[in-house]
Amino acid sequence: MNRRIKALTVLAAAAATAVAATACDSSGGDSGSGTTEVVVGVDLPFQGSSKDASDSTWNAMSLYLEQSGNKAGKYKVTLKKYDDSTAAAGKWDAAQCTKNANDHVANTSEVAVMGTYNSGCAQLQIPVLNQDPSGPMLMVSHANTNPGLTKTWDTGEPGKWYPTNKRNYARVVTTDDYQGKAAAQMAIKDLGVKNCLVLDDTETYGKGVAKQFADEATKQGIKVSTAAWDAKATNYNALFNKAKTDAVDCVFTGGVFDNNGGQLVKDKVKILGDNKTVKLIGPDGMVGYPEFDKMPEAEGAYQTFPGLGLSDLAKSPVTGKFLTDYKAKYGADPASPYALYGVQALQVILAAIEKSDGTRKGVTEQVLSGTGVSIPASTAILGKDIKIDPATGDVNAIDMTIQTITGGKETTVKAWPVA
Amino acid sequence: MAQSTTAAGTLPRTRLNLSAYGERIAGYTILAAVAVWLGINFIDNPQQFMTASVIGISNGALYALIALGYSLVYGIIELINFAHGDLFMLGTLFSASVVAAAFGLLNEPVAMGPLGWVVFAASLALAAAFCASINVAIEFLAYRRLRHAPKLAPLITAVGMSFILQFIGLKWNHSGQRDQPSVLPQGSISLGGVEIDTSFFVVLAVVVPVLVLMTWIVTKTRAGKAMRATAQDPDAARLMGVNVNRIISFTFAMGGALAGVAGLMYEQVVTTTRYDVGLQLGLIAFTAAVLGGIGSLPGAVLGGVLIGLIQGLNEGVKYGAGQRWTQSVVFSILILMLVFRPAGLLGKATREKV
Amino acid sequence: MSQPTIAVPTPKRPQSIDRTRLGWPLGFTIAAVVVVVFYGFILPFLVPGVRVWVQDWLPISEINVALIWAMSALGLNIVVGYAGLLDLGYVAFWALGGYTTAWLMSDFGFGGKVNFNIFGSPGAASTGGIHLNVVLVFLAAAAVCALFGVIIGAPTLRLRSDYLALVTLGFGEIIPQIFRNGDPDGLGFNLSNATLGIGPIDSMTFVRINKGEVAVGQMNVFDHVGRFILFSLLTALIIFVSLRLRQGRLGRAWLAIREDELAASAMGVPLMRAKLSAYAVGAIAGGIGGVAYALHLGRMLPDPFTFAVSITLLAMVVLGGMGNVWGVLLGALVISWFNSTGLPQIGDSFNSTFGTNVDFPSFNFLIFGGVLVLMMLFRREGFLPESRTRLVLHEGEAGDTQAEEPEQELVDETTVKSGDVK
Repeated sequence: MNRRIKALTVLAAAAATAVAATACDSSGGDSGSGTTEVVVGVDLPFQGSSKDASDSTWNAMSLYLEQSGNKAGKYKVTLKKYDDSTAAAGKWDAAQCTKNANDHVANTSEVAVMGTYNSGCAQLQIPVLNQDPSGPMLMVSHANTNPGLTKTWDTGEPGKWYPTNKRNYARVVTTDDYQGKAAAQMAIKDLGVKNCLVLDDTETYGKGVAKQFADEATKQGIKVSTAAWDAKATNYNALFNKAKTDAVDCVFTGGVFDNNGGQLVKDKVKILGDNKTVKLIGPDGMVGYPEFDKMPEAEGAYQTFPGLGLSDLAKSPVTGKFLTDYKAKYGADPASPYALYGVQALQVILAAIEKSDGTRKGVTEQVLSGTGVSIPASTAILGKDIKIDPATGDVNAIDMTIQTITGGKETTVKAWPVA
Repeated sequence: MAQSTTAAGTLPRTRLNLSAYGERIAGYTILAAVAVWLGINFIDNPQQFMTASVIGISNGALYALIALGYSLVYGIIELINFAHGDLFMLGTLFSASVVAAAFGLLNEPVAMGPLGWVVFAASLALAAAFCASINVAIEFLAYRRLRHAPKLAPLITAVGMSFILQFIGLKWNHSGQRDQPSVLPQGSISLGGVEIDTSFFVVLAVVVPVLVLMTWIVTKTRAGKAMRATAQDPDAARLMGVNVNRIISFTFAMGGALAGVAGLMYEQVVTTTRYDVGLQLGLIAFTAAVLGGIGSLPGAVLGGVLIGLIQGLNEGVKYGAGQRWTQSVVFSILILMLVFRPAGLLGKATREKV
Repeated sequence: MSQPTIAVPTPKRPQSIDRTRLGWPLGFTIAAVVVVVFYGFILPFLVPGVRVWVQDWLPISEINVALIWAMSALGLNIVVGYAGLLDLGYVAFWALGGYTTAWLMSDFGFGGKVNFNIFGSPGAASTGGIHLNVVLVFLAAAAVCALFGVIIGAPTLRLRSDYLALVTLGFGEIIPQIFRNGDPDGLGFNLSNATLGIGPIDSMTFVRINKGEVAVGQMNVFDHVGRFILFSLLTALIIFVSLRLRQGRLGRAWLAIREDELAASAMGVPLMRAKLSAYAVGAIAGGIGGVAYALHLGRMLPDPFTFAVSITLLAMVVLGGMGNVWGVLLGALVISWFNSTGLPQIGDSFNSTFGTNVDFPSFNFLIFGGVLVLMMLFRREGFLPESRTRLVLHEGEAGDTQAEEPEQELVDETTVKSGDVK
């Protein structure tokens, strides 16, 4: 027993020395320079299925920050990577999201968070950042399309995400309520479908967008049957065979491609026929995956994207140049348009930091009170005037693109008017 | 259920019979309910029912191939080889690479016809050899040293091995999906309105001979006799002149080869894979092996086919619970079955010796 | 061990029991107090550099998560370590405990159908639902989990060990799937809000320590020190119960079953009752872990409850030292820290020091798997072995088991069972 306690004491002493040593190190650097150096947390799933998309978002943001001289006004800005996924889960993880939220708050030099990719993760982080005693702390997402985060949706939403009743969340993408509707209207008006199988991947995002589609489709007079697809299933032959007896002429895949979407589409074509005979419509969860676009079975599939696709974005000179630089630096195009939406979110954060007093409260107020943040078309990476509504945090750029896959590439069919 | 078993252990004999009686009634009631459900679905749409069954059996045959490997290894050293599913995953990646390389060499996007079958056969042999050598290596490096340790030690080692193999798969193929080339003829045949995928016949053409071959090896050959002897009593087998280490290696080689064959078949039929596909299919195969009676080869095949059939029907008929419940349905049936037939469908009720 | 050596310790052991009696509990208490003092009273006043460093390497919220893992691992230790019943679906209890909390401590109220408040503390914007006091929630979760422990345990009683593993695995898959599909689309009624999850979960009234000030009141999300106090008390309770049970009649019965079921039953150990109580007690600990998890997250989602969690818990038990609560505690804390904080941090420092761009978290699988295999090959008994486990695990190996030499020929249970290939 004595030996153990001794060992413990030694350990504790060692730890104390280590802490003291580090304390000396860092206190020297920090104290004199004031608060001109700020950190922006980047909270994405860097492991598992979303790895590629997250990596290119991170790369695009780093490149953009580098090009703008690593600063916003008088503040020197650095990005800090936070991984909200774990290797064991292979995707975003609830406990990890909560941990990161606490880390954001605890890291005193951090003034805002860019992220998250998954709406489910944002639902965990926003309330924590909201209750930050020195905040609330700003979060700007490039990819959360779940409507409830900013507007009335499910019971208690969006109020339940903001315990202090002050808003601290903004996003630069269009939400799923527009998307599901647009897809259903397009299905009946442009494609003339009559009987649709609506699939969801059982996740929050997939179920939400599938429900939007199903509701609008029913309203438009399309016959709808629903089912779920399980990402872990071996294949989907039986599922589609059942639909075949129902004689569907359209399949809507509400969910993300990561959830075994390749297999799903393959089996759809195998059992129900190609996408000309039985239309295949997917939401933005299927957009931006080169491996999907290159599948022969994807040919002729329709997709909605709550924003603009890479090819459309490249038309703006600023963005076109940025994409060229990106390719020069990283040797490939970004894996998904969300990389550019990540840059757009960063632009919003940088603009807020520039105008603010450098505190969390100050940065948040720049975006979510007063006139809000706006970025002119000449610099905005989305190629148009960007304005964040200070009351809700939603973006003014409500774009809906209908695209189709031809020759292994996503091509824009048209922009869909959003009602 | 809970009550009847509690009663069985503590109450006197007469009551025990009564509860056994009640148990039997419960068992038959469940069977009857399943039969009625099948009947309703069949009458509702016989073609849909039959097509779903065929699809299910086709998947089930793949599960059976993986389950065979599980069962072989379990039979000889009573180890739940958790790494087996991941070995199979490496098999899918390896055969995908081989087939893709062959396509590249032949400079043809889709190599069908006789040349395609040559590629198929060569990949089969290569994948089997690849997985067999990995499995033998794992046995040699890890399990062999734990042969006399209590069960949990090799089990945890197998879990560790499973993680290591997943790591290899992750580095090999990243976390995304791999879309694979297939040499099998596409399309389906309609038999009286029932759609049957052509790949179904290929799967049968591989699984049935493999099962026959396995059975022949185990029952008729010298090595098979030595295997059975080792399974029954390694020490006695050793005394009888059996090289126990070599026999166990041989069993692992066979199990690995099966995983390789399963990997190729999966690659050809399902045509996508991921680094974590082994976890899910490993679980299903393990379930299949236990359902059939772990250690029994025909049992593993029966278990695999049954699970495939249950899945196919659950997802493909009108009154099915749908894919979101598949896993629960499979495991519920498994648990119910184990309650009523604790040794599995074809397993012998063996007493643990003292 | 085919001799029924139920509870007779080998002569050398009493000292070691004495040592564990005092040294470890004392160490645990001291460590807990140090953590409270450091994070509650010292850290907030240190320079930012230190705070960032501590937040990077050992944030208190992660210590809390590690304690949650520890509670569940200690519960699993009772099932696997004490009674020798392999459980591959332990995640089910974690989920059950968590969802019990979500049902009883949030606005959910099964879609607003149920509505009452018993000493609960609903949030300001609460619209109804069930709000129970957290103490009642712990009791309810314990009851629910004990019930499910018995339900899961009951069908396994007649099964051999591998079949038993499969049944537990099955329940571990079924129960989370029910929560995952628990809405009108999937289940027909709203059980768990499906993937949307239930939240926010009520905060509780407890000790709050904020920058050196101690108060009692409604906790908020940042009251990690207060939660740490609660969680370490719960862990201590589970440890205490584990230790007491281990030394009592029931504990000795479990050990007897673990070492030789047949012999144990021949000596009059009531198999049924002993096994079921192992499941029940283990399940209660897992449920308490689940409640703590819900309190920590402030929300309940079905996603975290995967097979990987069950396997990780099993690895914690085995690597820590099966059967030894202190070993399991240590194993759980270390693995949990390594998984969530250690590996990414080590990777970051490595990358920034050497200017490399190695993706460390992706090596998690290799490291975890490698450690498991190497531990099993070279230190099967875990970091801190239970004396008895160590003997058993090395039985049959020459040189390591002098004390048990005479039994050696009789042993070897792993190989004597009749398998039947074909």
